[in-house]
Amino acid sequence: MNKFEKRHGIMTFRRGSKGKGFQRGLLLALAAGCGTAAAADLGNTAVLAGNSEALQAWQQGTGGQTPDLVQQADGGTTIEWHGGITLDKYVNSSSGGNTLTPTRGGSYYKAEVQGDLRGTAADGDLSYLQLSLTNTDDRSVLSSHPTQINSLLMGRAGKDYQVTLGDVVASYSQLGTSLGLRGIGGQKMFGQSSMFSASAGVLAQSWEALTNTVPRTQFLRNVYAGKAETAFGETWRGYVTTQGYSDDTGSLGQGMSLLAPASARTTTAGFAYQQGQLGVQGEAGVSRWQEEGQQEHDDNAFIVDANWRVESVGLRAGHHNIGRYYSSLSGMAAPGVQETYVAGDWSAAQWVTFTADARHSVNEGAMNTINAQKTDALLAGAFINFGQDWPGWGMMLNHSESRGESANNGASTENKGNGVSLFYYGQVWNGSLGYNEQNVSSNAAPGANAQATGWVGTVGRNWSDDSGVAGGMWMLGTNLTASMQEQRLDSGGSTRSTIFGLGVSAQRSGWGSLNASLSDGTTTQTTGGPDLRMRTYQVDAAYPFKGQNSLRFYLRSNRNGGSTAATYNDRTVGLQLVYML
Amino acid sequence: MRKKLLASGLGLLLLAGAGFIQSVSAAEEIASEPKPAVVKPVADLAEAQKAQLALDEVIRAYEMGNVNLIRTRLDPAMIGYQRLIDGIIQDGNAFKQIRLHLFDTQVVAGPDVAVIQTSWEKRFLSVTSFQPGIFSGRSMFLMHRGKEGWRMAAVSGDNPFSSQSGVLGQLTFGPAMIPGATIPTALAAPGFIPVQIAVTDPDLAGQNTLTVEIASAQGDRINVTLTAASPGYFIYNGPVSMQKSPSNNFADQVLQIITVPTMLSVRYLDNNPGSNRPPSMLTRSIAVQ
Repeated sequence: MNKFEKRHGIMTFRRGSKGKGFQRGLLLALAAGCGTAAAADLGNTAVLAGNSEALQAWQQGTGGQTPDLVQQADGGTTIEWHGGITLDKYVNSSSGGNTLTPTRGGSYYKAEVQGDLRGTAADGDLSYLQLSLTNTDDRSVLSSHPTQINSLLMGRAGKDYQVTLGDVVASYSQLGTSLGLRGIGGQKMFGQSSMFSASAGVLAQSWEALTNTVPRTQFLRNVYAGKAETAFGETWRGYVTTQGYSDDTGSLGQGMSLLAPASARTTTAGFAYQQGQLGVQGEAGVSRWQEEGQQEHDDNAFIVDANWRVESVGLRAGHHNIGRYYSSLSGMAAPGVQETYVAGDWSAAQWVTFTADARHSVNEGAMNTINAQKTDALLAGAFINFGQDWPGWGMMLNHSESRGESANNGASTENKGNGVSLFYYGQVWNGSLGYNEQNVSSNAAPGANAQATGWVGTVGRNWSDDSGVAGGMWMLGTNLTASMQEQRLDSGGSTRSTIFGLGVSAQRSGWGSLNASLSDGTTTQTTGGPDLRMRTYQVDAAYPFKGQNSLRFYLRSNRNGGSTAATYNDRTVGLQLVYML
Repeated sequence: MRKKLLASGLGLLLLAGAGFIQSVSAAEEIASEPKPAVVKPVADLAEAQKAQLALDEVIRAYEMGNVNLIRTRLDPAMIGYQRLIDGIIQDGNAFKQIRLHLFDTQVVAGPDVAVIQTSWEKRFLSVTSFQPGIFSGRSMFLMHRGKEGWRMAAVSGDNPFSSQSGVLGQLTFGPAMIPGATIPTALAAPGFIPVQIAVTDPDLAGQNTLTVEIASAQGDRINVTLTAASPGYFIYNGPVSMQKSPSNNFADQVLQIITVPTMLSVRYLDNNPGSNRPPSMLTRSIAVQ
């Protein structure tokens, strides 16, 4: 029995008893890659009762749409397939050269294909296969090869385990592992309170670089990571992680990389505490890092963050200390950073809320540079509404300040900013008027020391047949924007940018949507050269077909003129077809 | 009553939008689940698109110099938060008409975490000279999905948003080969051999000079000072003193070449190479034959 059903605007293809055979084949294929656990599950008797639990876990886990399940007469479960193709055909017109614009003139196409195949077994276990790839002849989209695999993953997930092959996102902890790798990853729960996670694979620029289809510019990096965690009662949780990497020295030709291959091993331990409105979490780690031919560097890292909210007051504070030679598999653990912060918000009255954020930070990466090594920063703000007699009206005020100093040469830096904005948002009219100023100074690089001031104003008007009860069939909106910014250099000279913009958006049920904008402005040069004239416009019109299918026309143009060195022009005109399979 | 509700609701919305109410951090979300998380299955493909749209929003704000919006899209407990914000402010001050172009982009989304790998090119005009410049790099963005949607949790690799948050420098050294016969012997005066050295390192935008080291395979070395041609781009195009000699006097600023053929290397210590990598020595070599 085959059945097509349109639901949520997406064409969904379901199979009943025939799908069972297909699913079994899919699961066999996945089991071959995912290990014996999946293979063992194939022998389970198909019962539909467990599906509701799986769906519940799914919805909680993903927050996304729930796969559709239909109870079949024979008790079999479902295969679900979502896929789509997006085809673009466009013509670029470009001048100015590569230094000014990435666009190259000519006629190009781009095709994006994606598929998502899922099979939910009777006991609720989910098997999945996802693939997304791009094919284009436009080298400003894909620089080295006409085809790129954007993501490829397959796996199986049950109530207490998950195994994934392909593109694996491993997010174990802030100081340990938090990255995407190409390989295998899995999780296994033990009881209700303990879990073990592990991943292994390769860090590569792309699947194409991994298979050497495109030239590599970085070493392939072999990685592994593991995490064991358990809960202690209702409030405490603890975990340990271990991970390491090693660059594959033979993966890159001589002279291709400026960096020597490196390797590292890292171990971390952390905790999280949550009691009512108080939360505290912390982690500490040690690492050993070595570049080939160089000495080893042992270093450590420590972080702790806390947050607390009681009635109208919210507080947060934290301390981070990452050693200069600390190295792990986490994209979050920036080496050479030490910082301490305290922040809070206070709704002092119904009409006003205050906020503040104070930080002290040390940046060892700025050693021997003009940038500040030690910084003290403050951010303070207030939001004011004008009460129920003035609905939609509000005002925001903010002040930011950052003072830094370099230990090497005594240089100091200072960033200081103030801003105020008055706004009104209503169903028909909206508008805002804002002013801001920013001072940036550094006695190590005084050439760019400057004071900048700017004004921004917007006015918008909406029309619609929406009565507020049944919803509307059409809407039309317009928006006018004007901005002016002036930047005065301490070394002499100033630049002023003035920009005016007009935007129109329209939408009608069944007809589609239209968005168009035009902006025009000038920028004076600090050198006294001729003014730069900038003009951009774009039109985007979409016509919907059945489901989520659509046809779209777009036109984008950026033009910069006035100065010989900065003159460029790029324009794109194209059609896009979106077809959901 | 309705007006009151509307006003307070609008107020909260705007507060959040303006950054006055900070987003719940990823660490807090982890902490709010004292038990290990239930095994989560794969995310919908649409989540990858949403994560990329969230990154695009941050990029557009960076191009416009809208620091307040970027603050709202960052986790306040992000390691290196202030360094990133200060760098964005300084970029907004030093560059005009910033345009950030992404290519070779791949997005992999899990249920709550997405990884975006992409190459980028940043084009700009220097505010002091109004000359165009271009930086390039490759980054991995880590996105977290919280209660308020996808937010940027970290940037690994080369950081396109900030001139002081770490981008791997680029180093070139020429000519491709130096004829050994052009280097005089120890008994003669040192020869002046023309070389070209260029370093591009956005971390050093605003700095006027940069010192690198040229080393011979025999262990002698001299320092060469490069000057900034544009923000973060340093060049040296001139002679270096060399002679064939067994002496290794580090202070004489004459590079000793003992035997030919050999290799000459230029070395630059990148203190902030990005990729969450500790300070690393960048090296380029040429042959002396």
